[in-house]
Amino acid sequence: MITARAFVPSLDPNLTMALDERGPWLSIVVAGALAITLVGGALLVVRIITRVVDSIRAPAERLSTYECGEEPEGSAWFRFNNRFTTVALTFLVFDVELALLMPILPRCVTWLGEGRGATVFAEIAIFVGTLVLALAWVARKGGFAWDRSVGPVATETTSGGKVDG
Amino acid sequence: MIATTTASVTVVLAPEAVMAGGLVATMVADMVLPVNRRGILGAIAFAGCMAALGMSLIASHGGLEAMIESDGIALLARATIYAVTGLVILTRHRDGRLDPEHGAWLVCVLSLALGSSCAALANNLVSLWFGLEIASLAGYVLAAWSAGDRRAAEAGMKYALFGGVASALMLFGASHVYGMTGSLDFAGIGRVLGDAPSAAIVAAVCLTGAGIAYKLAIVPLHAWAPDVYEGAPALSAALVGIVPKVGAVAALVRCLGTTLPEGRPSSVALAAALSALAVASLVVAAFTALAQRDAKRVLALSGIGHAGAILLALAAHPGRDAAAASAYYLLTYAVANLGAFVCLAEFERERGSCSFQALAGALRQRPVLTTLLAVFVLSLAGLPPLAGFLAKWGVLRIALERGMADDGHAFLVWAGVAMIASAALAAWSYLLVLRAALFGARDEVAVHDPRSMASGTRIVLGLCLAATLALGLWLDGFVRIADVLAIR
Repeated sequence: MITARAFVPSLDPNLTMALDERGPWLSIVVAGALAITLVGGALLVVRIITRVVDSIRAPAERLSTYECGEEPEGSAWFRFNNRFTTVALTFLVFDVELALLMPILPRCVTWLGEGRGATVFAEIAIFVGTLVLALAWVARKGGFAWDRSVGPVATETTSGGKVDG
Repeated sequence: MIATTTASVTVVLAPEAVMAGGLVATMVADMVLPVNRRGILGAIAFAGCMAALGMSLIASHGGLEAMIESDGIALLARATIYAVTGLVILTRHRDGRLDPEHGAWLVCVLSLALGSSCAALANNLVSLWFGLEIASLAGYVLAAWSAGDRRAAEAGMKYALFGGVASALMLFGASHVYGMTGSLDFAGIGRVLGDAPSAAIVAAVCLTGAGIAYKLAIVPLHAWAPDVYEGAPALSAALVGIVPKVGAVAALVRCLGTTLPEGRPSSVALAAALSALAVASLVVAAFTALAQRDAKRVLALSGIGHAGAILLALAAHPGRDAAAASAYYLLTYAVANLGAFVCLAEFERERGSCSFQALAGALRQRPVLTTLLAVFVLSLAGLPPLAGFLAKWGVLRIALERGMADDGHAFLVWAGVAMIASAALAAWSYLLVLRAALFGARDEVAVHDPRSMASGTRIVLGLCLAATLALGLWLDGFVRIADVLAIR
């Protein structure tokens, strides 16, 4: 029973002290063996499931870009339109900046408790307003224009790497 | 407590708020104005800079929650940053109207100034990193500004890669500093550093310093500077060479002042480390500059050397005199460097490059511009009537005084000797630039742009010349600057 208790994650120092009476090595060996069994077993189960699923579904479809929905045409190994960079960067900015709103929330909650909701609203409105301004600026500069004429060439082979246009 | 904090945010950060307002106004104007009215953009941005400059002179001083500290060095740094930024905007006013993306350029320049001034106010590793990062991101874009120019693109890419690594090192070090000291503000770190720091804390602090060393181009992290300055347009090189450096030096002065009060045992080790970095920067820059064949590369290496000299003054800290010597050095460097780069921008516009070959015969074609370049370059070299001499003398005096007064700091005397030697070597490399411009063989130099100097450029060069001469004759400058630095 003592060794079994060793695997219960606990911050109680009494449990580890009880283990010391049997010697530390026994618990380490048992813990290691259990870890190997658990991880190895899990890997084995996943492997078996994969094999079974493999045999059921056609591998050609599984290797395609999208398993459902849009039907891909040609290979994905061509030069993408550079305009995707702008879209991706803009997305990234919003992604990161919205995450930056999280750390100020505790202070905002405190302020709300003090009845200073207007300050909270103003702070977040200024922050988001700047972002919206940036979005409008990118849009005005044509960052989101979907220019189909500069798109990738459709006649791509699997070797890829052709210059578009 | 929170209420008073919010009230003082608006007062202490008024220059930054004005600057941010100018930035937003420039963006909005860029969106709504028709293409033929784009000249207004530069005027708006310039007005924003001047308003921020005015605000920084009258803004009240104080700290905000151990994040921001507006003191004397912040006052000097902010005024320098906004003045330099405004002058660069003025220089590009005529050519900017021909650039369809002038609005974006202005936004980048204003962001660079805003980030640098945030760094200059930093009293905390987070706000320091935040400011340096804003400045860096704008700097990467500015370095790559010439559209279609492969060298500018390479400069921007190198700057971004180096900057990314330095920024990551700084964050990594800061996370360890926080883990071991439990605080991110300079005063809190200093309390732990004071009582016999462990090797792990020292390593973490060194990593954190990498971010500042990169911005200042101190020797282990200096390799980006010549390539970036050479490839980037001259005005961009002027901006990334001056504005973030001012912010980083201000933060360093405050950091040293708050973390290491006088008499702590570890401050001897720190002084030794700082002076070793300073001597390495001075010597490496002086020797490397001798082999260059491009004026912008020489100025980049001179920037590394000047950063070394500023670091040597800081190694002689604590004390207001050391901070005053570094601040005075920074001022003279900013003024002379701005003037030299504006001259080079003019040559670059005219001849397409600033290589020694392209500068040949400059004296006969543009006598006034060449003379001005000579004045600024000789000031950087430290010739007596000009500003650079007093600055070098101040740093040398503080290093020798401190080294002789204190046996533990005797290495500062040798560092001072190394500074004299490397200044002599560096002067030779400046003379190489002048030889190319003054006595270069008159080859067939293809003139790309024969227009004469824009009136904005004339004003900027005049102001830089006046400042270079005035700072050189401002004999009680150190005392006055020390008075300013005493502001708390």
